[in-house]
Amino acid sequence: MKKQLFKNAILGVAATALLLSSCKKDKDENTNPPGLTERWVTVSGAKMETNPGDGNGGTMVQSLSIEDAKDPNKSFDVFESGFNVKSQRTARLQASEDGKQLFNIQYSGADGGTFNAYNVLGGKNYPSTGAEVDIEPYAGQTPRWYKLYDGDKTGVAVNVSVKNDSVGGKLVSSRGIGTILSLNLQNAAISGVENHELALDAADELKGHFIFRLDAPILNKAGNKLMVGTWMRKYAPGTTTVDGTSDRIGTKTVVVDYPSLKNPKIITSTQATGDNSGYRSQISYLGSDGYIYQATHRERAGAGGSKIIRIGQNNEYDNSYVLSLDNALSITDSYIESWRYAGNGIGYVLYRHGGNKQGYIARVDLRAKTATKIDLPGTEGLDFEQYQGIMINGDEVFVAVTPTGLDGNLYIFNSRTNTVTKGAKLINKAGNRYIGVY
Amino acid sequence: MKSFFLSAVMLLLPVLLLAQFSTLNGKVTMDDGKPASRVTITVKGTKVAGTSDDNGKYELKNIPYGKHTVVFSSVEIKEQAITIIFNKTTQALNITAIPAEDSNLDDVVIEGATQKKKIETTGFAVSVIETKEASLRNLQTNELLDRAVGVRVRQNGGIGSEVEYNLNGMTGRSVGVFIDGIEISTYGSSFNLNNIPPAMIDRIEVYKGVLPSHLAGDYMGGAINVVLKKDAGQNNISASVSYGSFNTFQADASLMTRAAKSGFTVKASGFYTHTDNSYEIWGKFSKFVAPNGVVTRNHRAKRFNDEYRSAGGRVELGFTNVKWADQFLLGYNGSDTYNEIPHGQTMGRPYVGRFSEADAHVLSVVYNKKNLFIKGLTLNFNGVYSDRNTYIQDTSGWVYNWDGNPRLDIYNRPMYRINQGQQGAKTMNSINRKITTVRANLSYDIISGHRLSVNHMYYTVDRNDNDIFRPVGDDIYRTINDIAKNVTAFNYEAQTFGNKLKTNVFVKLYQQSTGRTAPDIKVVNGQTVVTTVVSSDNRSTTGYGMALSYTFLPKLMFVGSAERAVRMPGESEIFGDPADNVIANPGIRPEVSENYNAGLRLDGYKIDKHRFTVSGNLFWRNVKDRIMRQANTNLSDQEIELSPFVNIGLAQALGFEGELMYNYAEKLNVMFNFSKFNSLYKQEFDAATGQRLSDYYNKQLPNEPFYTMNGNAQYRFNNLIQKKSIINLYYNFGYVASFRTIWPESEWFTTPTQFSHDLGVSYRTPNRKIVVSFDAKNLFNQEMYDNFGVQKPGRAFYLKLNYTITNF
Repeated sequence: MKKQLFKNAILGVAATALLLSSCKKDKDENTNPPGLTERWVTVSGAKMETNPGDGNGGTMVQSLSIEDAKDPNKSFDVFESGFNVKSQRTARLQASEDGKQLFNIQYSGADGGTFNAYNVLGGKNYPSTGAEVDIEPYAGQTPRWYKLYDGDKTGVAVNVSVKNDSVGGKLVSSRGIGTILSLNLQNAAISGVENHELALDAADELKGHFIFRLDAPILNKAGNKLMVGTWMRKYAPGTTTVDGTSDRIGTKTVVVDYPSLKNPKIITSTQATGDNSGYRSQISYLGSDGYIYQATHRERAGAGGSKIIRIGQNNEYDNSYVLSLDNALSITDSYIESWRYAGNGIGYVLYRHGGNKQGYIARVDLRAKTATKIDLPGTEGLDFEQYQGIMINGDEVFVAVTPTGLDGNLYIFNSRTNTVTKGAKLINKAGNRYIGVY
Repeated sequence: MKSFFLSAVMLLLPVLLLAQFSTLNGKVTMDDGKPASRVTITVKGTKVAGTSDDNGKYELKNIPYGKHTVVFSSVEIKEQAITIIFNKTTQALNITAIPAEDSNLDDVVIEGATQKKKIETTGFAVSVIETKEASLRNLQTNELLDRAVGVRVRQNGGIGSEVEYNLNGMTGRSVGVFIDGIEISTYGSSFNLNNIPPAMIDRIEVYKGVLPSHLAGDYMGGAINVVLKKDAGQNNISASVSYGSFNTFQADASLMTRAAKSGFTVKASGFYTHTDNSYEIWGKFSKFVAPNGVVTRNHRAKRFNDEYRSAGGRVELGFTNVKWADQFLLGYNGSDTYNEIPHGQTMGRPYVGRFSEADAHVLSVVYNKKNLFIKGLTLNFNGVYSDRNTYIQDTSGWVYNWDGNPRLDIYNRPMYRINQGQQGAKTMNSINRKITTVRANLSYDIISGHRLSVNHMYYTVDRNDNDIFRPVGDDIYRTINDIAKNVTAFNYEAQTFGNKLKTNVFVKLYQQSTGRTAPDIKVVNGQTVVTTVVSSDNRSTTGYGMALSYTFLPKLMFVGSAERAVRMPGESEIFGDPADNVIANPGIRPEVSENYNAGLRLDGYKIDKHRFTVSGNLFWRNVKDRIMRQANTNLSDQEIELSPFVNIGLAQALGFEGELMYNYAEKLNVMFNFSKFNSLYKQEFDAATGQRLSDYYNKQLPNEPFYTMNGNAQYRFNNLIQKKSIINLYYNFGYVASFRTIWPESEWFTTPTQFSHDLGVSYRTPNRKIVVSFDAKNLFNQEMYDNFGVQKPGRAFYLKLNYTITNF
């Protein structure tokens, strides 16, 4: 026994020495294995913490080859064989356009607001790469952020703190103070930070309206303006009591110069009154026609449901355009949880309606302003609320479809041919669900 | 279970023999009049033996009537044999001993049972740490404990930082820490194992699992009982100073004197500790964040804002060894600490300007008397009242980097957090605790070798928190917490089968009530509404157990114990403790466990000049509602600053510990010990819903070192520089296997394997008055962690000078 212990002890020393020396090596080594050209498909799953579907137990990721992802005879279990991404609630993951890198900013918790990147090397192999960046002092522990479609050069994180002004002890106005931060993704570092008071029309402010959150930033076609979506809130005048019943005002976007992030301007749509912040996924896309298409949500019940509206190249809303999902699908109180523009005026939307949680998928034609529901088997209990990642690879659109706690599949929609293909089986665990494909 | 205990008791009931026995008592005095302690007294031809105590007194029981030879022997005296006829129930024999020649020292075999051996053979899983040697060296009490078998001391940084004790997989407050049987929290952070110098301590007893009734309390992991020096038999003054790395200065002095005639005794001691803890860190959590947000880890820096200052004194006045009391002492203990808090639970974010101040005024009364009123009745009483204050201040919003400078923002301006301190909201919080602890033990020897005892422990805390950053004068923001606890233990000890079998059976009754008045701050319809929530809780429960030891060969012994133990959540677990980064959890439930220990011990086995002591102990614990510091279930919060204690459900620990001691010719001492256990999470399904709870069923509990080893060697050179001088060389190593710190497997959250080496040397002058010692710690400058994310000191050197005068 004693001999064994000493042996262990010596092994321990040897292991420590080895560990120390290998640590040094890691830094110099190029972590990209040679000759890897294939497109990895990363699936992500959110674990439950206390209640099924709360997604607060952490996020797991696993990368599949594109062949495996499309093969309905293959099955994968990200919760058993995946890699645990650092985050408290569902990680706000973004992937590089080629799928070879994952970018993460931890959301909430003691390390919320920390950016880091992983190389995607297949399976659960996600070594960290590049610098870790702390944006918490600017954007807080719960920054919302997106990668710009500028060739994976930049990410933008946004946050709002609400300033309540009172005169003589009486609240006169509430106003959002927005922080917009740009992050260099190629050589990870903060590249710019600006704070702006987000003043609304005096009349609206008097009624208690203010910008409560910023989210879903997107770059215009010219690359000189950044459009940031908003989540509006209204207090009963003179109080900080949330008024959740009065009519909403027109959907607003904060426009700043890019890359300076200065000169904020708020533009307002006359076609929708919902928010255009998205919940945990991007909700604005630059169309091939140069317009930025935004989906709205959080409309009041009976106010006509989610719409898709657009901003023109003049950086103003094109108020002549609206696609009403209610009208297109003949439903009421539609609610777009997430969507993705797939090219050629075609998009795929993940939505619910009628105040129910049940999630559906529809193909929308932005030009014809039509939508078609896609019927998939075994989608009872599907809930897209925390859904984050719809992957595009050429004409193919990848979505992970798993009801909470139940197994499901990857589905591949071809935006050009309008075909639906069942992909790999996704094994689930009680209370968990898959929330993204990257 | 009950019937098992019942039958066990029946079996062990005394078999009264009809033969007549005599008791011999007396005193052994040296020829210069000083008492001779630790003299072994044996009665030839019988198994009766005993040892003289610190006052030279002894008592031998169960000597059969008739003519016997009584032999007095010890290292220090020449052996004497006296023949006596025993024909009375009590007889007295005082002898004067002649000192042994120094040159004989090597030849004497020490057979007298030291206090250490006596305690280690009582049936409890216990190890005793003698501090005599350590007190002359540059060792902290915590370091000494850390080297004991199965003990892991986990410290959140350098001297003065938060400490947690882990005994074979049991941790936190399930491990009781006592000073002379009084819960250490009574004395506060200003008088604890961080700053009590080993010189003030006689010995430390470490009980694992089952506790003897005189330490009855609601602990289940075991207990650490620090026994302060009692010896007032000799007039004695000693003092020491030590200086070393990180500007660490320590001094202590003590005085003991007793008037031989009146028995009037004065004991006084004091200590002072100062350190900057400015050691170098370079671990993963030592970060530098550039203005552009880029984080550089493994940033090499010296710790700052980690000064620790502590001073304390203790005076006891009273009478010892007088007719009406063996000990009657009134005491005052005062201490004061200033402690800079350099970071939260991990060192991810350095703090500058957060500090705590603590002081404690403690009054105590000790009374004990053997043969009180009637023969065989012993009373021990210990009452302590403590008034403790802790003040935490944190008002600076500047953000710092580990290079010691304010962190710069992207425009190169120092970063500042409005309305924030270093750890969350600004605070200037005073916590006052008034603690009363009373422990009384009454025991009665029914007949020789059979003792009944009852022990009662009462503990109450009144705690008052007041943060002036909450609206001043507004009582609704004040938090008042009270806790009161009673533990009563009944105990039956027996020595049977010619003293071969020692058994101890006990029942413990626990009761605890808590009261809390705290503000509940809610935002209702946008308005802040403060309501005062008064909650109270009263719980009582029962535990029982037994311990036994059986000597089957003269040197080979079996020890075993079993217990159902209960432990109530502690004050800081319920109400939180900002000084130690603990968040309140008023809903925390008591923890209940079944503990089993079984061990073998081979004592002082001798071949020629080689002497061995080998012991091994197997333990099993089954815990319900296990209380532990919350560990993360996902990978965020790596740089956590605060967390609560929580109940995690069922847990189980099964493990083994072993210790080997070797001595050659009283010159070379080698000790090696290890402890390895599996501490597993056993909650598979939710009790209420039947739903499968987690992926962690049957997985090792996180954040607990489960495999540790310690070894040390000491070699003594006599007469090397000067005649009659002594030089000791010391070597020590500590090993901790790597362990996970959060629930999921993750390389990032696994502490590395740790292996550290220390060397030391001490020199004692021929007149025995001066001892100089030099110690080098963590010789190879290893990256050491007790808690993930807080690096411990690297290589350090200390020099210490001790001066002792006896018999002035």
